[in-house]
Amino acid sequence: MSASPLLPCFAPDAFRFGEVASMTVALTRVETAAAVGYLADLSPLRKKLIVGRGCDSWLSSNALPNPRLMQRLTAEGCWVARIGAQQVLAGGDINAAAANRLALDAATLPCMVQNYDAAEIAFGGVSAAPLLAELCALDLTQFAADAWIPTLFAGVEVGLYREPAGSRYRVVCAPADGPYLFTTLAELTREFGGAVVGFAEYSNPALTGGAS
Amino acid sequence: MPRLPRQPHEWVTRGAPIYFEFEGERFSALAGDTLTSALLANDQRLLGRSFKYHRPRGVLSAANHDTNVLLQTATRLNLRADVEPVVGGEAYRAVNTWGGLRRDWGRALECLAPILPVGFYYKAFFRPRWLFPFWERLIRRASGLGVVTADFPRTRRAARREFCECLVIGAGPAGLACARVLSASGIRVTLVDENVRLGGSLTYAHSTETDQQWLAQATAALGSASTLKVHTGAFAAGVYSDREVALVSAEGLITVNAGAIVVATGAIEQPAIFRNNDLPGVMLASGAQRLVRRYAVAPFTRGVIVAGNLDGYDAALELKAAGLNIEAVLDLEDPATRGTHANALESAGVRLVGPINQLEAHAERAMLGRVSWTVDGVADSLACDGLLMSVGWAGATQLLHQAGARFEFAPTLNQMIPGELPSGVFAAGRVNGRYPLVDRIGDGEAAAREVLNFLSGASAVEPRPALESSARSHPRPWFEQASRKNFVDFDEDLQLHDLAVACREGFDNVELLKRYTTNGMGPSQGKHSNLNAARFLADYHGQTLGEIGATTARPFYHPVEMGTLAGRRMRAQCASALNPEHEAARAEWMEAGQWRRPRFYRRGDEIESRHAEYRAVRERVGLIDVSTLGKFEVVGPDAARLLNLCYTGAVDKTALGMTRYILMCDHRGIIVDDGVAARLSENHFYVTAGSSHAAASYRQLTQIAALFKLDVEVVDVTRQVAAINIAGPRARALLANVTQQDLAESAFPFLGIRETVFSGLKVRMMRVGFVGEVGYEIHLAYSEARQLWRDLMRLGETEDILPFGVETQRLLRLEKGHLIVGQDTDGVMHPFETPLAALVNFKKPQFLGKAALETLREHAKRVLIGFESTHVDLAAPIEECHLLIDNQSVQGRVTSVGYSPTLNKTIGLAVLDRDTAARAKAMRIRLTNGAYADAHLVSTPFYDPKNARQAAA
Repeated sequence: MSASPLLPCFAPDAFRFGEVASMTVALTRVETAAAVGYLADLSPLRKKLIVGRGCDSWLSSNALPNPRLMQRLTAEGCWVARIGAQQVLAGGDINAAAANRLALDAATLPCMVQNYDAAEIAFGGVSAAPLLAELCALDLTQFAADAWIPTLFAGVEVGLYREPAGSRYRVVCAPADGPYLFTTLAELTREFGGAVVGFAEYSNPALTGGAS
Repeated sequence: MPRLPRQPHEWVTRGAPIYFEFEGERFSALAGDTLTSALLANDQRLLGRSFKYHRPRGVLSAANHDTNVLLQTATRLNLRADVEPVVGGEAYRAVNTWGGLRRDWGRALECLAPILPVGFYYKAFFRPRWLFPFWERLIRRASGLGVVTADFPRTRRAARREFCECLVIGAGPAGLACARVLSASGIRVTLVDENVRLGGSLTYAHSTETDQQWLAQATAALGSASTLKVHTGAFAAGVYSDREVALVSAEGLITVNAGAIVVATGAIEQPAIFRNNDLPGVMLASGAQRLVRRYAVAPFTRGVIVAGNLDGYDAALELKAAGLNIEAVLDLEDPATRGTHANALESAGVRLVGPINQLEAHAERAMLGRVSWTVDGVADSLACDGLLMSVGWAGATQLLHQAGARFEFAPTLNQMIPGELPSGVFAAGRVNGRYPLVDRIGDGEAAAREVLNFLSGASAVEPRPALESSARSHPRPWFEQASRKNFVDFDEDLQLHDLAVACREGFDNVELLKRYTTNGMGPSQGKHSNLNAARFLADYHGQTLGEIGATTARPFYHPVEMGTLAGRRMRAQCASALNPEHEAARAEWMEAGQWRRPRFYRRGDEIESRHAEYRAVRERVGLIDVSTLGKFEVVGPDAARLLNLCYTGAVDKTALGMTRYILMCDHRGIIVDDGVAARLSENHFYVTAGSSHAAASYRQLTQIAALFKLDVEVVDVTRQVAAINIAGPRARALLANVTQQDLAESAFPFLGIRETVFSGLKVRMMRVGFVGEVGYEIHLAYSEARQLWRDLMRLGETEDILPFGVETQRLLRLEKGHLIVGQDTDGVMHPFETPLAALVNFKKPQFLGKAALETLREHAKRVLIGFESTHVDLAAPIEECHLLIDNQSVQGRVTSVGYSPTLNKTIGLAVLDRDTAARAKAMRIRLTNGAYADAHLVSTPFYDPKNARQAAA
C-alpha cells in the first residue's frame, strides 16, 4: 500500500480517506462549505517516465501521440508530455482505463520505462488567478493551450499545464517537494476564498467546473 | 482652520466623522481624509520634527514628495501622513521626537548648528581614534526615525506578478490619454497611480470646466476598457531590466513585466530657498491646492504666495476662488510682466510685489507668523500664517533614470528633459517637458502610438507637441542670507550655507556634492533638493544646469518597507516520505540543506538516546532514512563514458549488478562530491551523490553530457526516490524474512546491487558499508517508503531494532574512518591529501580535473589523518575546527570528532601539515576554553580495520 506524498497535509479529522489506484488519499471533506475555488491532491493518477532514444518508438508502439518539447498531448484516457529531448512523461487521467495502457514496459526498446512517483495537484476557480499571480513568474497567456510548462512554482520545480476548459490548472512536482507546495497552495487558496477538496470531490462539476 | 464648504471634486465623504488620536489628543476626520488633511482640518499645523535639529515641521507638498510628516502607531512606523488614510480609533504620534512633538527637547540640538558644518562627521570623528566608539554610540542613538519594537505583529504581505503589453505609470492627463489610446487598440494595458483617484494634476491644479469634462470622459472610457487594469494608491518603486517594474501598494508588492513602459509621472513642485522656509505654514502652492481641492481643507487664514512663474498666479486665483484669503503675491520677477494674470489678481484685491530680492519667514510660537521681503532695497512685511511657494518644477524623472534614460537640458524650460530613452521605454507629459494641458494630452497620445509601433516591431517616432517657449521654473529660486536657516534639503536639515562650504572645499561634481553634503540622501530622495543643489552648483561655477547634470536616481522611488519586499517569506523545503514516522518516533530535527533530518530520536537525554542508537547498530540492527542522498538515473549508450568523464575512477569497469565508490573533482582537482555508481545494465547506471551536493553534481553531469554531445540522458530522481539504510550484525537475517532475494554473500556480495521485490514492493538494494556493519541501502518509490519503514520496524521488534539519526551515523562512519565531503574536506582539498588517492585513475584518457590532479599528486601539503585522545569531557570537549598545536604553532585543525563507546576514547579526523604528520606522533588540541587536550596521531579505520564485520555477518 502506498500513500500520497501529500497525505500529511490533510487534517485527519477534516477529511475521509480511502484508496485510489492502491494509494491512500483524502477522498472527501467531512464538512463542505461554499468556495470560489478548489485545491485537490491527484497524486494517485499514476505516471510513467520514458527515457532514452527509444522513447519515440515506445510512444508509437503504444499508439500514443508524439509531443514536441514542452508540449502535452492527450490520448484516450491519458496524456503524454515531452519533458526532455529523450524524456517523455505519460500520465493517466481520472478514468482507470488509462492505467492499463501505461502499464506497458519497454523490454525490447532502447529506453528506460519506470514508474514516476510524483505529487500532482489540481487547482482552479476564482482563487486560481491570484494564486498564480503570487506563485508563478510566467505569463501563461504566452503559452499554447497544450503547453507543458516547466517552471518554478512557489520556488519548487514543477511541470504546469492547463486543463482544457476554464481557469483550471495542474502542477506535477517531485513528491518530496509536494508537502511544502501543497501547504503553501492550501494557505493561499483558503485566503482567496477557495477550499481544499478531496480526490473524489474533484470530479464534482459544481465544484470544479467539470473536471475530467 | 475650518473645513471648507463642499468642493466640486473633493475626495472626502461628508458624513459621520472618524475619530483618531494624535499625540494623545482626540481629533475627528472625514472618510477619505489623509492624516495630513485631517490634522490641518483640526487646526494642527505642527505635525513633525526635522531629522537633525528637531525643527518644527508642517505640511510641505501634501503629496508624499517630502517626509516632513512621518507618524507612528503601535504597530506601524514611518507612515507618510500625506497619503496615509486616517484609521478610526488609531493612535498616532510623530516620529523622531524626544519627549513628544510639542515639547521635543531635541530641538536644543539646533544650538549646535553653528559648530556642525557640512562634512562634520568626516572632519570630526576620526581623531582621536579611541573616542570614535563613544561618538558612534551617540550618533546611533540619535539617528533614525520611527522606532521598531519586537511587539509589532508579524504580518505577511502578498508579492505577486502581473503581465501586460504596456504599463503606463501616472494617471494624469498624459497617462490617461496614453492609456485610452492603448486600451482602444485592444492591447493589455496596466495603469498605475500613487493617488487614490485618477486625474493627476487635474485633481488639484488650476483647470477649467472643459478640462474636468475631458477628465470625466477619459476615466469613463477607461472604465469600460476590457483590456485595462488600473492600480490606484500604488506607486512604481523601481524599474529594472527587461521592463520589470516593482509596484508597491498597501496590499503588497506587484512585479509587473511589461512589453513597454510609458512614464507619465508628471512634475514635482520645487521649493524656494530663504530663511525659515521650513516653518509650519510655509508650503508649496500645489500642496495648498491639493488640500483645498481634494480634502476641502483651508491650510491658512492669511496667505501669501512667492511666485517665480505664472503657476503661482494661477494658484492664487484658484485659492481665492475657493474662498481663501490671499493677501499678496511676492514675485521673483516684475509683476508687470505677468500680463492678464497680474490684472486678474489685482482686480481680486491681491497685492502684487516684485521683483523681490530678499525674503524671510518669521516664526511666532514656532509657526509661520509673518513674511518680510525687500524690493530694490525697500523692506516690507506682512502678517500671514500661510506662505506658498510656486517657483518651478522638476520632472519626476526618477523612474526614467532607473530605466537608463539620458537627459538633456532644455534652456527654454530651465529643466532637464529625457533625451535618449531605452528601448521600449517612453515618456509623456510634464516629465517630458510638456506643460499645457492640450500638449500633455497630445504627448500622451503620441507616446501611445509609439508604443504600438514598438510592439509591432516598428520604431517609427511620432511627432510630439513643441516645448513651451517660456520657462515655468525660475533659474535661481534662492535668497542667500548670512543668518542661514535657509533649507535646501528638509530631510537632512541641509542649508544653503552648507552647499556653499562644500563648493568652496572643492566638491565641483554634483554626485560628489550630494555624498559630501548628504543632499538628497534622506527618505524623500532629493525630490525637493536635488534640482536646487544642482542649480546652486552650476551658479557657483558659472555653468549651466546642462553642464552640471543631475544626480542619478536609483530604486526606490519612495522608501519601501522591508516586509513588503519580503512578501510572504516562502521558503521551499523538501520533506522525506518518512517524516511522519520520524515525528512519531520523537525525532529531534536538524536542517540539512533544504531537508530536515532526524538528528537523533529522543529516548531520555540526548547522550542516552544516541548511545542506544549506536548500540543497536553495532550489536543488533538499526535503520536510518537516507532519502536526502542525491540520486540519478543515467541512461543511454554513452552512460559509462559520461560517468568516466565526470568521476575520477574507472566507472566503465563496473560489473553488472555491482556498485563502485566514486569521487568527483572539479577542474582544479578539488574534491566536490562522492557517491556510488551502480550498474543496472550495459547502458543504465544508478548514481548517488552527497545530500548537499546533489544539485551541483546533476548540473555537472548534464553539462558534461551536453559539452561532449553524448548520447545519454540524466534524470534527477533525488526527490522522487526514498532510501533507507538498514545496518547491523542482524540486518541480513532480518531482511531475509521479507525478500525472495538470496542475501547470501555469494549471491549478493558486498558492493552488489539487486533489483528485487521487498515486502511486496519493487526496490533496489545495495550492499554498503558506510557505518562499518553489514548494511543494505534500499531505494524505492517515495509513496511506498512508509510502508517499508513500518514493515522493517515491525519485523525488527524481535531484534530490538532502532532508528538512528544523523549524529549516530556520523559517529559510526567516523569509527570506520570514512570522510564526509564538505566536512572533512574543504574548498582546496584534493584526493592526494586524503585516503582517497586510490580512486584517481590516471590511466583514463580524460576526466574532470585530470590535468590539475597530475600536478597536485606531487604537491600534497596536507594530509587528512586520524587521531585518538583520552580527553573525554562533556563540559570542554574536543570539537570540530579546534586547532592542532605542535611547538606552539598551528599545524592543522579537527574536521570530525566524537566519543567512541566501543574504543572508550575520543576519536577524530584532522587536516594536518604533511611534514608534521610524518614526523609527529602526538599533538595538542586547543580547546574552546583555552586548555589543551593531548592526542595521538593514528591510522584509520579506528574500527574493524580488516573489514571483518562484512565477512562475518
